[in-house]
Amino acid sequence: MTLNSWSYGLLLAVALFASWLVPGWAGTWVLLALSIVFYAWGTPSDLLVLAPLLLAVHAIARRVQPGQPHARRWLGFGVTLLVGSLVYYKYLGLLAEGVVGGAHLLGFDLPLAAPRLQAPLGISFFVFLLIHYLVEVGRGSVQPVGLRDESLFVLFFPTVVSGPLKRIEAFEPQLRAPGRPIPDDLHEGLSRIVIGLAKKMVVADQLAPLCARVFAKPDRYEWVELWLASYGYALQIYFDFSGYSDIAIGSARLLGFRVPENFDYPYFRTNIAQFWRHWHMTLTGWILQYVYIPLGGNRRGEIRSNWNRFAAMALCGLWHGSAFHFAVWGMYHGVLLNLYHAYTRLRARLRPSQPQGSAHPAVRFASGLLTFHAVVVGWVLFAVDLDEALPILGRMLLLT
Amino acid sequence: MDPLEATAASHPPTARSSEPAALRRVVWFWVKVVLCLVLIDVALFDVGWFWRYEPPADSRDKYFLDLWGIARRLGSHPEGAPAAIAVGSSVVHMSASEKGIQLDMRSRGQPGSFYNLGVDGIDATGSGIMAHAASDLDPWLVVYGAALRDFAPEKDATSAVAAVFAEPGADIGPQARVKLEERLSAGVKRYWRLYRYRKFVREALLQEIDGLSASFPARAEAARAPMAPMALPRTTHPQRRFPAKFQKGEAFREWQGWYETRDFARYETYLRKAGKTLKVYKKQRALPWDLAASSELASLRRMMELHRGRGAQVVLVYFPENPVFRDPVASTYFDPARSDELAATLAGEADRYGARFIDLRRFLSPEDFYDMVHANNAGLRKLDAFWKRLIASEWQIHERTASSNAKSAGDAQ
Repeated sequence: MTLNSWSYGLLLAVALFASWLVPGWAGTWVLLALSIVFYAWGTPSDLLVLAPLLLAVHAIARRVQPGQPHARRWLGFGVTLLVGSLVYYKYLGLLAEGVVGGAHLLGFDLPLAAPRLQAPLGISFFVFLLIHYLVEVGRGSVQPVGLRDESLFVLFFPTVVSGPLKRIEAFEPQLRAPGRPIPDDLHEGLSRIVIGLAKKMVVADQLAPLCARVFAKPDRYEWVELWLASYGYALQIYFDFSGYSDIAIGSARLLGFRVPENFDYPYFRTNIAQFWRHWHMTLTGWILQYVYIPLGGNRRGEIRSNWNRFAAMALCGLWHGSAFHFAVWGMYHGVLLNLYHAYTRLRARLRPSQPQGSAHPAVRFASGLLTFHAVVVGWVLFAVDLDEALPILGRMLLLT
Repeated sequence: MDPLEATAASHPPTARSSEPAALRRVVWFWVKVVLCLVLIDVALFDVGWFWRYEPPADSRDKYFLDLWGIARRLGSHPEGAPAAIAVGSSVVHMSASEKGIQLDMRSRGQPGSFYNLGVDGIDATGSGIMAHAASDLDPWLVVYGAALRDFAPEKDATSAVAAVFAEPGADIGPQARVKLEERLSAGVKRYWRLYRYRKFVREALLQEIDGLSASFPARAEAARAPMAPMALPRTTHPQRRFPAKFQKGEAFREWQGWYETRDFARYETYLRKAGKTLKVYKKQRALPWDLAASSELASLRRMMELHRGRGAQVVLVYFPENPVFRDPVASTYFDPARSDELAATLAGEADRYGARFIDLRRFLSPEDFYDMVHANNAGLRKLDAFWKRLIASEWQIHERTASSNAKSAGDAQ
């Protein structure tokens, strides 16, 4: 069930009616039941993966609290279990391909063939949510919650498929006393849903076939048309994803819940670091908190922080899909971020008196244009396989 | 700053308010939104701004434009005027000339209109959907032109016809709209024309955008530039009728050979070279055939039940088949037994619902076809005469029935 389908609209209407009819704790149970219906719609077997993980995390969460015996080991076990599930269902085939390909380069032919498993719906999202929950409980910043609230935190139907990634400390208090929807929530929620539907169906879905036609047979098109298709793809992916996020945020708001924003005009930003602070913000926040900072962040010298940025962005890329070109896309952004940080350090050394962000408007405009084009070039790596992307990029940049 | 904190700071929570004034403000806002949508709908489809739009001949999606034409004709029929409709696949779409039949009707002093609602490639369920869509016209005559392929075991339940015209009131068979998603979509489609015809609206907008882009200086100059004189090929009827994608090299030459000689072996060579077509024919021939349990037959029954229940005359016409295909050499692609079974079934169903069955399978000779079921110019002329005779004779029956009904009503008084 997609967020722009009629059946989703029906489910949302039922949830809205139920939240009006049965506010309070009973309403939370109804919301959980509807979220399970949404999640199990089409492939109920996905619940067989999700339910044991929820139960396991529920059991582990009480053991990772500060002061509990072997809390760190339990935390390590819980995170390994979650990451292992994600790797098993989503990346096993890719890993096997990598191993076989690597061995082939070294002259060995390995008879290894990992099955391509059907990943459960939203596994990337719910694994990240559960890791966040366990780590925060381990840090002592939140208390473990009951199984119902933990399940609803993960399964909350507007956000389970495509985010935004929620935070337990912001979401859990809203579950304690959900009231009836009020006019402001209805108004804001409906408006957001209408905007999201328009972004998705009027813009993204119309651009998609035009761009796909060019990327499917790039040899037939001139370099100008390849650039136009890349611009189109940049708009398509933004309007698609931010449209989905708007529908999710609006649906949650309709039911009286606040979930974090995900996009904030990312293409209008004047440098790549700003772009990532405003593109898929909840994922960026997660990567920052649970990958970049644990790796050492920028506290361990220049070379290490460059590596940390690169590794975090490569993981971020891989999170988007089980294919090498996603990882390469992430690495590309890691390189851009490192280049930008090198530039800021150089500028600070050359012009220590000039505060950041005080450049002439024309310079800011040029920076914005440069950033946008750097991002557009990256989208080619995201859109098609590497062996197709490189010739396209070569022609776009007039190198071939 | 953490991106999440930054986001939270840039999106402060809205102050909650449960005042009745706030409720009124919100309700009024959404009432205005709904009013705007209703006004757009009325302007486009009741006032008829949208139907006045004339799509150019070289439109990008001819299939939808066929359906668009049908929707427009159904929408513009004068209330109360007698209407006769014909439904079916390409055999009907190609053979029944609306204009010619209406001229003939006028020359005989017959009132009302005739609508050809045939659509290329449609199956019996699609025809049922079209017949249901026309039921608002309260037609006095419904002609269903059948062909064996309309009852092929493999069909697409989410056809373009179903996407535009199917709605919950069209109970036309078990295979349509089995999914909840499709049912919900159809429910909305029934009452909201802007949604039902959204594909047409999009097509019109794209055409307009194309028109605008053509007016850009570079393109306009290119359009004004003198073109090199081009030797135009003399098009024959088969070339015009034949899908352009198959008018290529050897395959088309083989087809021309078959057209001239009527030698099935050449047709088979053509099919083999055309690739895709061959697979389609073979696949249909190889699939299990169970007419009695067919959902297409169920749709046909629903269609007859609907229109006979409303007092319309219903005629089932089994359209001509090329006799060459009864040759044993052609058995890989055509099964005469299936054809005979369908004819017997159609006759039985017509009898059951008080409809008329006409078997035209041997109406045309091999020289009247350009393939298995589609007639060439010579065949179309014969079919045109058939359509005119059929409408005239059915109108006579209709008038006789009407006058005897009036007489018996008068006697009763």
